[in-house]
Amino acid sequence: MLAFSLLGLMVLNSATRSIDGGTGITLKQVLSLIIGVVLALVLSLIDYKDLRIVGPFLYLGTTALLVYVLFKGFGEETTGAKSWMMIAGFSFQPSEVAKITFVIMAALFLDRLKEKSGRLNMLKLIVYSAIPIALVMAQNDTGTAMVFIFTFAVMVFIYGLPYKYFLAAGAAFVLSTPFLWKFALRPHQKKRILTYLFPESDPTDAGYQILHSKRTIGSGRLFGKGLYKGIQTQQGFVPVKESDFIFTVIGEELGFIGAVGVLLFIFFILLRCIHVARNSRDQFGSFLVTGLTGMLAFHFIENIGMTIGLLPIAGIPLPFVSAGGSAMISNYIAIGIVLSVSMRRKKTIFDSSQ
Amino acid sequence: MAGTGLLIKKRMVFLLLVFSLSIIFLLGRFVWLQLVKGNEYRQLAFEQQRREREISPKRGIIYDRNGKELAYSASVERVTINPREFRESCDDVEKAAEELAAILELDRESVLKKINSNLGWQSIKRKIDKDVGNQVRQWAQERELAGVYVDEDSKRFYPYGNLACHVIGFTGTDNEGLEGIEAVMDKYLKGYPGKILSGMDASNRQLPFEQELRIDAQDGLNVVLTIDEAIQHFATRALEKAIADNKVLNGGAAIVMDPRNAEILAMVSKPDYDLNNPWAAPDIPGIDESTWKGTTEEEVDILRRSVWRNKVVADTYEPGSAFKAITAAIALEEGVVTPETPTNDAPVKIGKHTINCWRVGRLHGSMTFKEGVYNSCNPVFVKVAMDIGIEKFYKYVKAFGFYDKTGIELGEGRSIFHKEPREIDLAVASFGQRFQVTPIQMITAYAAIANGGKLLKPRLVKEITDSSGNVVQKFEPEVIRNVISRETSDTLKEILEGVVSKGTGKNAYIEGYRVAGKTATSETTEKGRYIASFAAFAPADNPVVCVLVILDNPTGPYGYYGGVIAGPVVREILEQTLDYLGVERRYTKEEEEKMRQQVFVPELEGLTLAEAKKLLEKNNLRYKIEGEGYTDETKVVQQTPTAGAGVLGKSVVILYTYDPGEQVKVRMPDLLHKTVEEAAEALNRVGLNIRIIGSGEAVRQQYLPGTEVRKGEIVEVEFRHLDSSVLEKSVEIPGIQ
Repeated sequence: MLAFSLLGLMVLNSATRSIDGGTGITLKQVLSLIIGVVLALVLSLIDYKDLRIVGPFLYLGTTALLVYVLFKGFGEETTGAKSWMMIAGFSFQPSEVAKITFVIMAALFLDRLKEKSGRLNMLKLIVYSAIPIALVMAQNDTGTAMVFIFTFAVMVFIYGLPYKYFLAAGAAFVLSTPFLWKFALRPHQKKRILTYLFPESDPTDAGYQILHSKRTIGSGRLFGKGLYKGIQTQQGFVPVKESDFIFTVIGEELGFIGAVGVLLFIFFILLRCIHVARNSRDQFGSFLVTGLTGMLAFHFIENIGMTIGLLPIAGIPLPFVSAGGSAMISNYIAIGIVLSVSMRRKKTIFDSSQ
Repeated sequence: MAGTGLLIKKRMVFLLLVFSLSIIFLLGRFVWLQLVKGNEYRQLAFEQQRREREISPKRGIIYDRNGKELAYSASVERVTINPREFRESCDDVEKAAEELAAILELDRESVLKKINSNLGWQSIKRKIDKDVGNQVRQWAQERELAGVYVDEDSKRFYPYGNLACHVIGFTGTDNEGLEGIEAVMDKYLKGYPGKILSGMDASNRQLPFEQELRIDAQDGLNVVLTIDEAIQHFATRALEKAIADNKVLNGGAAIVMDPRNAEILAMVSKPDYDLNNPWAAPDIPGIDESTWKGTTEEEVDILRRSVWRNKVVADTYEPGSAFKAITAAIALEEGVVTPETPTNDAPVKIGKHTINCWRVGRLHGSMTFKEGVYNSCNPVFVKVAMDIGIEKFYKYVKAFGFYDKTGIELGEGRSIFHKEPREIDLAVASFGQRFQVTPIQMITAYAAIANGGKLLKPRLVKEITDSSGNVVQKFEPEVIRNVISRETSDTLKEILEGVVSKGTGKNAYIEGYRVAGKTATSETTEKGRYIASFAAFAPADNPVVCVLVILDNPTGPYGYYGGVIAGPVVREILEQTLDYLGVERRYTKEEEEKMRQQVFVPELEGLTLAEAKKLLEKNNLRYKIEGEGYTDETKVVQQTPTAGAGVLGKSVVILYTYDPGEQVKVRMPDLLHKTVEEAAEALNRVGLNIRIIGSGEAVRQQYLPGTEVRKGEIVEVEFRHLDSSVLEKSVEIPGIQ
């Protein structure tokens, strides 16, 4: 885990060399990493069953913060997302932490449902899940909202929701696309989808990122151009390379080998997480870990997918690598929780003897 | 607690599977992007990092068939700036802009705008002379300005101006071919640009550690045309003269083709334009030169429809009686008639229409088929067309290429025919009415008649050569199909020769060159607008040149008959071309008798009068002596015409026995409508000599009546047949669409 983060740091450092105040970004990232690792270690020592008790409070707290940023927050003007607030001189993104508390809350209710299914719990789960999603949507941060939705879907899937519900949801989504297109989507979102489908149609503006990203990654070929030597990266042809498009830097400078390495790393992390989830001592632990895993997986796949033109662009960073303190810290919190579950799993020996 | 349930575990495996598949998918994409397409993307990325100034390649030369340069490029220079560098090195941008604008004769504001732009490169001015380029260099050096670049550029020159403008065409600001051969052969002519590379970052700052790298431009290939500059000149001059003389309102066209290989020797379309200034105000009515810019879409459209339009290939016209040669060819080939088949010009009734001869009320009466052709008699052709039949007739029309584009290099118009011709359509088509063809189709068909029956693809480009003159590609004659037999061709050539020597084509007659051809006059859909044309080739027994002349809307004193106004143009073009090509004149007996009268004036200065008189008598020349108190022993001091001049027998040579200083002058008589003999006699009477052009009656004399002319001078007099024998005209048949 740590190794992956260090690799991320290196790449980030490379990516930020050509930006004014680039070292500042890297330093902040190092600081966040240290905080994150410490938090993860602390969390792994705490029994996750305590989360049953603290969970609702944490959930209420983060929801309150989400409401707060909705009115008092600030953000980038470009995408219109208002999801930042200041805490002790640092900018902070409550939605990152809300992802974690959201998972805890959902795991809690799924566990209750499994014990004794009740209409009320079901309703509560849906309402409590909908609140942060709605709040994030209200911040104009569609990408993060999608993370919530995907995570939720993974969790209810694991819970055992019959396939037919997923099919129905899928069908409903497909059927509603024309209406969404017409009434719900804002111009910049439409543009993103259009450039995803036809990137060459608008190479100067919206398609620019994706074309250059592909071109840059492609130019890395097998071995890459070497760290710090990516011409496209260093000369600023790739926008937001320090955050959402950091994978292009990996692609160009470390080449195919580097990209495959990172993918294997990610696969290993996901594999480990699911292993932990399978062997959790109780269902609460399973739900918790699968939720967090789903969250991370969505980040990984969507982020990489968009840099190589496979998926539409959404403002989703690459966990552990992209610049962003809140994300780094909350990702490590997630890892901490997974570790906590992992350390308290039942012994495999018992498992096989059953 | 029960741990995780079985269902949950199953679903986790499923989830893992989904994640794995997604990652494999991503992996596959990397294989595609980085391993399969990696080189391509690296190339793209490389190009992106390099910003270059372009070196224009030198565009290929367009030559005429003898290697005369019709279009060439000369090295000039261009000024480009890197706005960012420029601004950073300059303390007073406004002043610099003003100075630069002054050197380049540009508008200060536009220069300033370019300096303040954020683009990588800004072209300030192109195609400037070398010395202006040097001024800019010097200025940049003195003011210590960075980011000012003066590089080579190329500019197109057309030394002959208007000549063959529709064939050659011109180029645009980026030296790209826009019209004519310049456009069609652009891929050969343009070459490949070179580059001056310098490393650039995304914000367009020149990277300091990169050196300038220069990749030389690869020059374009040369195009050798089939056009002969001299023949193009003959045709242009003759057509221009005819347009002026006959007050032709809608311009005209002239084509000269070698029927043996369908190489176009000259192609003229009028009105035309100066290739060195194609956007200038066209010389057509309704154009205000003072407000003309030549840049608006509307103006370019006007240019395109008027002076830029190549009538020879783009326009269609009703061929009229010239098409009778085609009808005759079909009839002879199908054995419907022979030259001697008796026929007459009694009116023909087709359905409710009656077709008369143009000489209604004074019919030619009975005659042979060939006489019918000489007289261009419509009913004769209607009758043979009826015998040929609709199906066969149009099959041959197709075979002659009238339904297809000829395949010439330039953009062609489409001919217009009735989709399903009825009997009446056939009847009028037999004498060339109610359908439209392009002039190039017409001359190509005539070439087929002239060359023994092969329809060839007309060509303007002979070969492509490289800069050292090696032939890269050669374009060979291309036979499309055999249309008629050699026998038919030979018979028809003889008949068409008769048209010129005995019939309506007399005005194209040239002594010694057996000209064959057919006149045509057709009325257009516009009332009172006629098209006079003449298609011919020579020598009739072995044609080497084929000519088509079209005059659109003549309104001059000689009327609008093809035989009267287009015939002399054909004669002039043919005579000059054949002389130029060195084709030997072969005179008929009759001509030879006339020939004997042609003598050359001997050298007489320095001889005694007795000797001179003797010499002149021997040469069948007369003389007049100017001077007083001379004897036989007096020496000749001066003579007019000078020695070596070719004159008719019995011409008068003026002998001076003193140095006259200014020679004696006489008044020019009025020769209008006189025959050749009468005119010669009238001139000789006052001591002038004649040079005869054409035959028939005098229509033009070198000097206006009453002008003082040096005694003994040779005066050019143009004759033309204006009598009814050459007046053939299409007769409108009312009610036919």
